Amino acid sequence: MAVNPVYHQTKDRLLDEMTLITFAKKDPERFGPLYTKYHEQIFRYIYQRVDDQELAFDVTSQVFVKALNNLHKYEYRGVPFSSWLYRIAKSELYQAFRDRKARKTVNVENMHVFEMIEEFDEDDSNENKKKLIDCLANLDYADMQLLELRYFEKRSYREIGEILEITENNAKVKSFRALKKLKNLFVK
Amino acid sequence: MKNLKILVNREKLSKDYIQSKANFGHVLSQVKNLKPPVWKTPWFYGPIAIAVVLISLSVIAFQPVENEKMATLHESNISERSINNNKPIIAIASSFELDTPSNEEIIPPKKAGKINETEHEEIFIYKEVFNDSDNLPSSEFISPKNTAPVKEENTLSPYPNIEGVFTSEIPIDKLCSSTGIVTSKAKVISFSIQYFNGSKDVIEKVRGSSLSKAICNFIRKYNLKSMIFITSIVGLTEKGSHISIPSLNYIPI
Repeated sequence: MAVNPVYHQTKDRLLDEMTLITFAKKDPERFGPLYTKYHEQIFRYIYQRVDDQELAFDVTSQVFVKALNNLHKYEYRGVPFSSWLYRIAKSELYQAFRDRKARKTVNVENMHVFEMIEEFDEDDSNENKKKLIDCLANLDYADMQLLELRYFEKRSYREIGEILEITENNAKVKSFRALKKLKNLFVK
Repeated sequence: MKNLKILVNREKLSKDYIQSKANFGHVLSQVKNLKPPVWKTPWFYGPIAIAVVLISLSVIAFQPVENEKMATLHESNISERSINNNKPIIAIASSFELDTPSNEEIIPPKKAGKINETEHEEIFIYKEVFNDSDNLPSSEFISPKNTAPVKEENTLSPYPNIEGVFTSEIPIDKLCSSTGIVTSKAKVISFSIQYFNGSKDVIEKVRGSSLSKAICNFIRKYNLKSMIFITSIVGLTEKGSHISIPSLNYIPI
């Protein structure tokens, strides 16, 4: 399965990014390039999980406010800056679900449904598509998140681990388990 | 998952549209307008620091006054007891803070003169000694000049004792005697004892007034020259009511 190439960066690009972060730590106005670089990805990550567009823009804005406010605490650990932003985004999303009573949403495309049905070795019928969507709705939110990150957003296990604050191996194991659960629900 | 909304093939937003909504200036202004949390401001730590300093100063300032008061009270108690030396034990009982629950009856002070019922007309003067290290009162009996030497006897005193020993060091044989804890006002029916059993400190509830052989063995083996505590002493009065009796502590030797 092809994974999201945005996350994977060369060492040189990571170091360039680190330079930008160092400048931004001294002067918040120099955070601009990082904001421009990551605004779209973070927005898409959030918009994938809420149904209100304005709320998604608002939460995205909050993510960058928090990031800028806590930039002095950021430490480079050999992974892209985006993983830190995703973690903030995850926390802001939970806060939005809690405080603004936002509805947890999952965006599924026909292609994703088709790929999953193929993975289960089943027919690509309309009935099966409907059944799979019902099964997705019955999954735990944690399992749903793993499937979303891995199969809908095509992220690597390493990136999933960074976002969910678990190890790469754990992300792999959990993703397989979530898929197995979905398959069990689907086959029943 | 009741709150989960599944959207199929939602219209994708274009890159240009998302970029048009990006506003770094707004983010910057929000960051500049953010106020630090209350607990990070000097207004939070200032009053706390002042309060701590004031409390420390007041504790230091009042400490000598308390000590002076205690010393004065102590001296007056001793002199009073010397004058009323025919009823010394009464003063002892009243000068101690008795560990008695409020809902139980407290031993009333013994009537003067009862001590004279003993065969020997010995005069005991009770002296409280404050240990400098922990400021806890310990006690000892001193005999004034021209009086008979101190004799530890099982006199029926209103203050609980074992074989006439009220506190501090006690020979192990006396501690383990069958007489046990006695007081003139009530018959001791139960008490708790805290001692070291070789591995940990245990608190054991004992029925009756004397220590069992098993406890005595532990004390003999592990507690010589270390403090044991006898607490929650319950006595049965002649009228049949239960009373709480002040605690005891001993150093078995």
